[in-house]
Amino acid sequence: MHLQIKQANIGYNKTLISNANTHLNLGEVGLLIGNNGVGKTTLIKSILHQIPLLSGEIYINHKNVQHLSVKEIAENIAVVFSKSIIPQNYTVEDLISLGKYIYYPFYFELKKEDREEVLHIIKELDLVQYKNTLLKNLSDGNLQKAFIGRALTQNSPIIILDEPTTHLDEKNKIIILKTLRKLAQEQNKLILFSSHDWRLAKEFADKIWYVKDNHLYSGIVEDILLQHEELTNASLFQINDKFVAPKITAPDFHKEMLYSLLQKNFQKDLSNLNFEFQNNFWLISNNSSRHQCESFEEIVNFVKTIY
Amino acid sequence: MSSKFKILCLVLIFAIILTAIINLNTGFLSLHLQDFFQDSANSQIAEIRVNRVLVMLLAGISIPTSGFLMQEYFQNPLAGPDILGITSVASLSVAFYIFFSHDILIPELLQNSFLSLAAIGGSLLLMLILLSMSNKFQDKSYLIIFGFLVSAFAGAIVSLLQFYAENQSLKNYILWSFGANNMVSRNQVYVLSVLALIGLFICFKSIKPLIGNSLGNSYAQSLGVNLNQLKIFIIVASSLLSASVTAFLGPILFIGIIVPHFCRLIYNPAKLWQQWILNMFLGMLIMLLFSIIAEKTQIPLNVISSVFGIPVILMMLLKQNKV
Repeated sequence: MHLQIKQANIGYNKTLISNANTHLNLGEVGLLIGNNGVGKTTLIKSILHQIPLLSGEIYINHKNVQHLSVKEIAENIAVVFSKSIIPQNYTVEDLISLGKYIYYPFYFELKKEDREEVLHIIKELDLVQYKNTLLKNLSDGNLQKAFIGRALTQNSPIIILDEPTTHLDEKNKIIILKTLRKLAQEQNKLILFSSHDWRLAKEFADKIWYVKDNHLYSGIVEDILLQHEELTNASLFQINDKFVAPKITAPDFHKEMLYSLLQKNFQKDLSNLNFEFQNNFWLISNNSSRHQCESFEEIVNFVKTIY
Repeated sequence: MSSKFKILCLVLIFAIILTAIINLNTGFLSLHLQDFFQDSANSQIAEIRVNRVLVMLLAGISIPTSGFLMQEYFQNPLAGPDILGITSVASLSVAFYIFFSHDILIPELLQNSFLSLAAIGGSLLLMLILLSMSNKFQDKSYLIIFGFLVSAFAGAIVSLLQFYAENQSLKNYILWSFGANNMVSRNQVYVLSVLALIGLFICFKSIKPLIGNSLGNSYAQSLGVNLNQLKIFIIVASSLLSASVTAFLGPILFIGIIVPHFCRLIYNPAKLWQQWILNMFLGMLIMLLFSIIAEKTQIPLNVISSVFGIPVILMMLLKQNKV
């Protein structure tokens, strides 16, 4: 248990997460999920001891973080925050070099082997062509990658990332998540990251920490998903109060499409309709009549004639 | 270290030596080389000029360093020793001293040291207030607003004092506020060197935490930077450096803003150590140049630095608006 949280109450003034008990080992990837404002970032800052715990303890490598100096915490944990100042005259290489900051006592000018390591990480993250680009001229995705590169360069056993994939497209998300997983497995690092986008992220995580209703649930990814059905059912969004869904018999994907189509177009109670998907056409029926439609456009036009 | 930086430094060092020599030869009388080394009729004048050059070098190191520290800490290119209110509180203390000491008879030497002590004392007082308040100001920009208010308040009191002041004191104060670069004694140079050395040492200790602070407070903490210590270092170093120079030379305005700005213009990589070194070199060069101009034209040093500085700052403002 390299990172352990024991009976912790976490929050600024009022408790956001109460009685949290969990742990992660070296070599594991943890995914922290929960709605906005439940205290994910607060939990991360508590682990870094930037916010004091209201009660309880957090241990890094069996040492209480309260008794670690800022420097010792920096040697143990590298972090990527979701927000930061972008220094005006920093290039990608400057930023990633900053990961070596804690290893230099006064004068900060990289030694040869450190420079090579920085260049290696730049290469691994596919940022070679942006090496000398100023951060302010970088796209959000590449900027995010550069910040992650900085954390990797810090060479700490634990890496914590707050929403590392937010500004990235699918392809880059996968590059980042794959890199994180590879790091955990090959270099035996402990990685904890938070993400809204847990559907993709879960493919790369061993454990989930799920914050809901002031509680921290943790365990193997699949266990947590099964125990909390709101996580798996979330694909049907209720965005329209007046809309009541009809009965739909169809494969999941078709069902979801039809549901969102009807909800968008009809703010009404459709519960007496019955939709059935039969190979390549839809059968629509109510008490009195039956009708066939071959496309969603036909369905919309047809339902409009009834209501 | 890149070769561009080395070349820049060499050029600057050469220019500093050149201007120092020109400065030593500038004045009402033309001196011979032996006046500087042997006892002769003009050796007293030679000493005054040597003091002048030494004090310009010290000011050129101290004021830009002070401005550079504040700009990097507040991440605002318009911050400077004038911004935290240090220069104006130093002026206020000097004004108090000059206007209320005219009845008391003190030997001239003591008079000079008391004057400097007053400036440093006033700045130290402001520094203590700033330190005690800085915990309440979580936002860095509040500190700048606070400094501005302090400057305005100090300025108002100085005007009031001037209004009621008696003639001779008023003249003394105005002479001081022009930038008294020719009146510094060798003893004062020693005192100034010691103060500057302490300030530079604290600055030396703050450069690395400042690098760690470049991504903001959260990142700084996660890199092991002690933020409270950094704040104290920045306030103490920048106050000490600028207040001691202000005490001996009068308020020299804008140097603390424009020198760091020029340094960024000529050498821009994100390397604070190099920036600091460059600031000291360029600061010494500019102060020596200003002092030569002041000698040649008989215009006060402070007026020259303002005439030169204000357009530069205006240009910076316009440029900032564009971005």
